[in-house]
Amino acid sequence: MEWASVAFYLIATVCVLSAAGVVIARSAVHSAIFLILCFLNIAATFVMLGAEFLAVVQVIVYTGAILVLVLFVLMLVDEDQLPDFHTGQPIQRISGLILGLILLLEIGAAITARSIQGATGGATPENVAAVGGNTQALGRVLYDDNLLAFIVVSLVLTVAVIGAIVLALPDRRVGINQRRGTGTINLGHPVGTDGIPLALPAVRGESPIAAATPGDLRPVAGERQIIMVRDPDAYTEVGQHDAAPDNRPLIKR
Amino acid sequence: MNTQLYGSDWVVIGILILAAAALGYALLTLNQIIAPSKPSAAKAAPYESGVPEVVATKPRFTPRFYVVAMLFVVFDIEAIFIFPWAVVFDGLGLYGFLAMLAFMFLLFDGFIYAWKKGALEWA
Repeated sequence: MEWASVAFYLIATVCVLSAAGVVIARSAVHSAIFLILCFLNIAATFVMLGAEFLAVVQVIVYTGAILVLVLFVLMLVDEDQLPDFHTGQPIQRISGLILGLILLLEIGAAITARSIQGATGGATPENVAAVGGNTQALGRVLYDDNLLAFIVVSLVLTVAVIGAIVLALPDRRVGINQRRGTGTINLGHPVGTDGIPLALPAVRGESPIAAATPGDLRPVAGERQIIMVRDPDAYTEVGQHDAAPDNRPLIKR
Repeated sequence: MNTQLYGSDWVVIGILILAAAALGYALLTLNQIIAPSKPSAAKAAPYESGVPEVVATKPRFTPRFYVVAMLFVVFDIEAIFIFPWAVVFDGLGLYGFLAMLAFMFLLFDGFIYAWKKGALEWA
């Protein structure tokens, strides 16, 4: 049984390190990947405790579904618009530190005192093994004795479905109108820090752009611009970037 | 504790996971060792022939995706509830069958609501 404790400490170490990685990682996507690693290691811990059903649920629900939810959030928000996680106000840092210490103390107290121990009831290892495993035991308990709670769960899930749709589903007509409004055509002009295209003749001298004044640049959806071009081929050269002063990213709005 | 449980079955699963990770790392490492690497500015551009990008290349997605993800979570949990029911199905008899029908019926309401609300459509 020696290798079992080696495996446990390996799993626990990776679990704690990846949990720390979730907090420390700069990129939100990296945090999500660390979270996957953490969830998988928790599933492995459940396996070592003999709770194989819980381990599979951990993988399917947390690693599968919850992580999908997290990644979808990352897709929906613009990562550049997220607040920087590592530059909190001093009061936030201090209160976070205090709350974290309190939580750590609580967990330590619970572990050392071992006061939290539920009644095992009839679920002794022998009884569980007699019905074939803890998935079977759970099924017997859930669908026989606690049937009402099980049906109530289905009601709760239905409420979750309806709530998700009511709260998050955009009105269809509004969506279509918004999509019509945001159509943009980008012809690939590098834009200077002042927002004026680098190749605009009035500002930058000779260029293949049609003689355009800033008045000709029709704004679409607020900020972006359409620029009339006489010779589109002139814009497909590699090296168009070089017109930008210092190789910085072209537009960030 | 059931030693036979992770003395055999789970070790196999662990080996499978390790093998999958090892294969991925091995292929990436091999690629780094073997493949020639001559980076240039033109190769780093998103398109070798075409206009350079002027706006952020990371588009934002419509909230519709998020509704689908949330529905996925809910029905995923529903599927979880079916597993323990399936393994003891023989012992439960008609009673358990009707219980699961009631469960499915209540969730089916939510499904029909989502369907009729257009949460599953993209047009």
